[in-house]
Amino acid sequence: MTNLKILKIKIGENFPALRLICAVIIISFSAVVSVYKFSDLAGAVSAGFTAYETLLLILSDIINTVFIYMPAFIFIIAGDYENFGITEVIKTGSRRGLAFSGLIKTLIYTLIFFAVLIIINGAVSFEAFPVGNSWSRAFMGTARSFGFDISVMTQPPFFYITQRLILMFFLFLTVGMIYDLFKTLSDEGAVFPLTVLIGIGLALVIQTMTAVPPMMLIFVLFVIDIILYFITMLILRVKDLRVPPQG
Amino acid sequence: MKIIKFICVAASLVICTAAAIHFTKTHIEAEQTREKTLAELIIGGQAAQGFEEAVKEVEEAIGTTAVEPTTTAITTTTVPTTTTVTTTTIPETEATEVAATATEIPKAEIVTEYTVGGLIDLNTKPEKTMTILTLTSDQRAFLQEYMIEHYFLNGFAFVSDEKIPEIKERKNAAAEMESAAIQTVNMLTGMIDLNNPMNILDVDFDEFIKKIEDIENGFEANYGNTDFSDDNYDKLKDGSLKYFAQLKTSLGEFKEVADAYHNSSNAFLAMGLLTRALTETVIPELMNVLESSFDLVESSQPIFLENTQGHTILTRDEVKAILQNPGYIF
Repeated sequence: MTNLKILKIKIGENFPALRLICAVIIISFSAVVSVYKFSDLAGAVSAGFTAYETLLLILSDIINTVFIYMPAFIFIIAGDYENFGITEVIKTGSRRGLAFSGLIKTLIYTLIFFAVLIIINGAVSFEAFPVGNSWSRAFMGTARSFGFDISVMTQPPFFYITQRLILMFFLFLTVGMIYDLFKTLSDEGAVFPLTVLIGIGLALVIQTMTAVPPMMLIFVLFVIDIILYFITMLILRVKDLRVPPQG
Repeated sequence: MKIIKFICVAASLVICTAAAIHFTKTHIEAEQTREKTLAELIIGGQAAQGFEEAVKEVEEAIGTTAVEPTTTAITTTTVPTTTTVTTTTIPETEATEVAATATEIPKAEIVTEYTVGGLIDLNTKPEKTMTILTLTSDQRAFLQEYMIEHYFLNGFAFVSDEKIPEIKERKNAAAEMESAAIQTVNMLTGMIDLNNPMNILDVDFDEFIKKIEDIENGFEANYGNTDFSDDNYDKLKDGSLKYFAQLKTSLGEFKEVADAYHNSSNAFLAMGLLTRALTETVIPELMNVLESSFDLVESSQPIFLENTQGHTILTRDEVKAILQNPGYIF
């Protein structure tokens, strides 16, 4: 109970509202540009995507992920790393509690960020393209150019795309936990760009593995998250959290 | 304070989402109602060939047929085709006064009568929906002949059929002018390999521009000073010169894009710049060149059709409609 109370206080006090607003604006802009691109492509081949396919294509677009989503996400979670020290341990009651509340905080921010992504990109996708139950001609003809294997289309689109979206969620969660781990180890400014680079690397790896069933990748990321959590907890148990004397 | 933060974030989300939806809607509506240019239809048709092959491959691999998601079409009003009939006659030539045994010079009468538009009904969809890609070779040959007969016109055929020397000479000049432009269009489309569009970067643009300049210089030498006192002829001549100038400008821009790409030390950045250049420079310039070549075709039509009767030619809207769906003529 104490942990949840502390969590409520932490998120309330340090909630990175301004950073989140910046991210919302940037994501909106990229959503419009992306849907223009797919709309023009659909016009050029005289075939239309479905809304759900467009959502998948936008969120899977490696340029969006590398230059916009990943930096924006880490920018948001980096906004809540003030007041980290021995007082936090006292408030949560234990170092294990601190680790756990850190995990929940990262999970909540990932959920918020992912919800923003889905809402904005989903809104423009459903505005530009119709809903459909089968794979569209446009997707069939262009899937490989976007890095999707043909085997993807042996599954129903809603089923496959939902799995991919869950996979993306776990990708961001994993990157968030990597940031937590690095921040636990060091307070250096290099943590931010280093985490962005690792996130980009992970995203590139996942994007190239479209032939692998998404559930398998989700499981792998889940296991990585558990490992990251335990490593973070172990480091917190031994780390000296005292604030160094001034002067 | 906490509540205010959450409210601000929620408000920004709502406003940005609404703005994004608005811009998307505007763009989609503009795209749906925008008329595609002839050049876009032709190039788009060729580019779509690779797409169709990819779709077939996927359908075979997964054993299903692709469906087209239903969209709400935005209705557009079609402008009814106009029909013009022109008839001209030249007054009788004056008989020259000769000695007693003067022979009468036959009166020359020039009758020009042709119809523009009306070959297809744009207000009704054809029974069969076809695309250029799905035509058989016989159907393609028929389409080609149809287009030449009713739009592009075989200039030299009209020259050989013409009996009046003065008009024959004018038609011959027009046919030769047009063939100079067609030669450059063939060179231009031959430059682009849609299976590997990146080959455009390796074209020797200097040599290309030189060839265009040679054609243009030959054109100016042969026709620069000819004067048939005919508005249509002058329009064709000026249009041709403008076309060559446009072509050289466009090729110059292509050359700059290719040079920038080859001279870049950062391949990643060069790729990004190239993609932008292709979208903002190369493709629009290519479209401009092809569109102006079609302008030339339409300015040559009155010349070839002078002193002919019974021809019907297509309007540009009809040509676009047929290229989008050849079912109109089958």
